[in-house]
Amino acid sequence: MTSSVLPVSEPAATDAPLLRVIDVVKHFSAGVGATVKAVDGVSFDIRPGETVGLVGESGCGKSTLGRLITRLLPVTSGQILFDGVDLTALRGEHLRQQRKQLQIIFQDPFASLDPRMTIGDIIGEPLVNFGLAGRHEKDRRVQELLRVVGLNPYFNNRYPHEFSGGQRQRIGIARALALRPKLIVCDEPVSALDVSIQAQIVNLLEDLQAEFHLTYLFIAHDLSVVRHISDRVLVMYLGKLVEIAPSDVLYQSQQHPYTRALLSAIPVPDPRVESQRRLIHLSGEIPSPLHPPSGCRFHPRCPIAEAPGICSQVEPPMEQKAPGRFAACHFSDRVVTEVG
Amino acid sequence: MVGGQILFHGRDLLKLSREEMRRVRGRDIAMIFQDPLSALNPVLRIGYQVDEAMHAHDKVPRNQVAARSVHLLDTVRVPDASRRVRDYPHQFSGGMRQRAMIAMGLANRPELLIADEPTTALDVTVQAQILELLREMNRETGTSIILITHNLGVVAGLCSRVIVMYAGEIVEEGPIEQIFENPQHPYTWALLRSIPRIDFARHDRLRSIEGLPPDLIALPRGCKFHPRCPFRVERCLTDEPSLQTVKGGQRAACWVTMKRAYEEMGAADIIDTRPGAASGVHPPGFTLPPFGAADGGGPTGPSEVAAP
Repeated sequence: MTSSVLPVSEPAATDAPLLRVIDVVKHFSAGVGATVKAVDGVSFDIRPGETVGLVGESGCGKSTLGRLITRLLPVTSGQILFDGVDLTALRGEHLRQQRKQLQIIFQDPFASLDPRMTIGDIIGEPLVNFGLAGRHEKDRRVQELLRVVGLNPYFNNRYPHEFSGGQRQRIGIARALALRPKLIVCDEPVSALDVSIQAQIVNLLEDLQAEFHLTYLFIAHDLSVVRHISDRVLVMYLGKLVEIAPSDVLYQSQQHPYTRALLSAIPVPDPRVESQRRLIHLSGEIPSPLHPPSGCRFHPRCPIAEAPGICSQVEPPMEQKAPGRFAACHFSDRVVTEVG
Repeated sequence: MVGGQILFHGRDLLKLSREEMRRVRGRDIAMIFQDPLSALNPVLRIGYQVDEAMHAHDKVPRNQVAARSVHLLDTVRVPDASRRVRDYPHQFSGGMRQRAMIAMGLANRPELLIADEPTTALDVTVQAQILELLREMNRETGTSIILITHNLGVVAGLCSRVIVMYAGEIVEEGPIEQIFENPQHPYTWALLRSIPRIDFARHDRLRSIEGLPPDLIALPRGCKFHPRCPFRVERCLTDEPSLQTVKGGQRAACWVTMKRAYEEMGAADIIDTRPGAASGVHPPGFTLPPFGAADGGGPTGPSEVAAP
C-alpha cells in the first residue's frame, strides 16, 4: 500500500505523520480451524499534536487496535510506523527504547494500578526501569508529576485504595507522562468514572496536551466525549474502519450508513432535541467476527445495501470521498439523503 | 429502613409482612437491573426464568404461561422467540439478555417498573432499542416507570419528570423541560454543563464539577453540595436547605438557586468552577485545590519543572 492512499486529514499537511498504521491485521485463534478477525486490515495516520478518536461498539476491535499500536499485542501482519520506525519489526532492547515514546492509559483505574505499590513507586517505576532517575531524583519527578495532574504532591507514599476513581485515573495519567512520551493511547479513560468527574479528566487531558505537545489516540464508545476531544474521528465496525472524518463535520454529514445510525442512537441531554430525534434502526445484531459477512461487513444490517449485489460481493475500499473525508462504502453519496 | 413511608395505592409497603410484600414484588412492582448477566440464572433456560416470574404469582393461568413467555420475548424483539426460550443466558447477546429481563419484568403486567440503569452496560444502538421498548410499554400498557440513571440524555428522551439526587437526598425535582432549561440547583446546573453534547457544532471547555462526591460516612455540614459549589454563601456552610417550590412543579433545595446565581454572581460568565469561586465564600482553613497544568507559563516537561 502506498502512502498516497492513506487517510490523512489534509492531503497537503506538511507535518510528517507521527504514527502511521498500515494495513494492520490481528487474528486470534479460537479453537481448531477458527479465527477471530479482531482487526482486519486497518490503515490511518496520526499527525503530531493531533487527537484522533476511535469509536465503535463492543467487540469491534478498537481496544485490540490500541494494544497493537502500543505493542502490548503482536500484529498478525501489517506495519506500525512510529516516527518512521516500524514497531512491528522491533524486538528486545530496540522495542523497549521505542516504548518510552508511546504510553497507554487504561479504562479501569482500579485494575490498572498495583494495590501493593505506593503511588510514588507506580509513577516512578518507568523512570527507574529506564535508568532515568536515581532515588532522590525519582521522588522529585513523581511529586512534580502529581502536581501536573492536579494531585497533592505529598501523596506519593499512599496506596491506590486511598484514592477515588477519578484520582486513580490521574495517577494513571501521571504514570503515562513520566517518560515524556510523544503519543498516548487513551483506552476508554473516562468510561468508568462518575459523570461529574469525567469532565475533570477530559479537561486535564486537554491541558496536558497543550502543555506537553502530546498526541492522543482516544478510544471510547461514547461518541459525544470522543467528538468533544478529537480533531478527527475514526469509526470502526467489526474489525475494519468504515469512516474517517474531522469531528466538527461528523454530526452534520456522514459518508457511511453505520456512522449515521450510530450518531442517531446517541441521546442528547435536551428534551426538545430528544422529542425530534429519529432513531435509525439497524436490523439484527453485530455479526460474529468469527464469520464476518461477505463483501461489505455491514451489508446485512445496512438500510441502503444492494444485497444480493455489489454490497454482498465486493468489499468497499477506504476511499477519499471529499477533502479530509474517507469512507468504505459503495454508496456513500446516498448516506445523508437515504439513510433514516 | 430507619423511617418514612412508601405508599403504593395508599398502602404503606413498609408495614407489609414478608409474605404480603412477596405478593406485591414482581406482580405489581417489578424491577430490572443494570447487569442482565448477573441478574439471570446461568443454569436455567431463558423461557423457564420468564415462566417462573408468572408461576410465582398465579396472575396468569398456568396453562397459558409458556405461550405468554414466547409472546413476551417476541414483544421485546428477541428474534425467533419460540425457539430461543430454550436457550441459556450465555447464548444471548447483552442486548437480548436485557430484553429477556424486561420480558420477565413485564410478565405479570406490573403497574410500576423500576429500571435501574437498564442500558448502562449496553452499546448505544442497543440502548436506543431498549429505550424505545420502555417508551412503547409506558404508552401502550400504562406501566409507570422509575428510571434510575446517570445518563441525562436518556432522561431527556424517556422521562416526563426528573428527580436529581446528591449524597442521599433529593436536591431538585420537576418536569424535564424546566429542569433541563432552567435548573435551579447548582448541582443540576453543573451536571448539565459537564457533559459534551453530540449535537453542538463547537465545544467550549467542559465545565467540570470540582472536588469529589462526598464520603457518605462523614457528610459535610449544611448543604451537602457546598464543598463543591461555586455559588455557596455563608449560610450554606451551616444550615441545610429543604426543598422549596421555585416554579410550577419544580422544587429545589438551595439557599441561593441559579436565579440568584445568574443575577448576582455572574453565573453566565463563570469560567472558574472551583468551590466558592463565584461568591468568594471559603470555609476556614480552605485552600484551593491544585490546578495542575493551568498555572506556570509556557510549555514545560516534567523533568524541566523538576529542576530547581
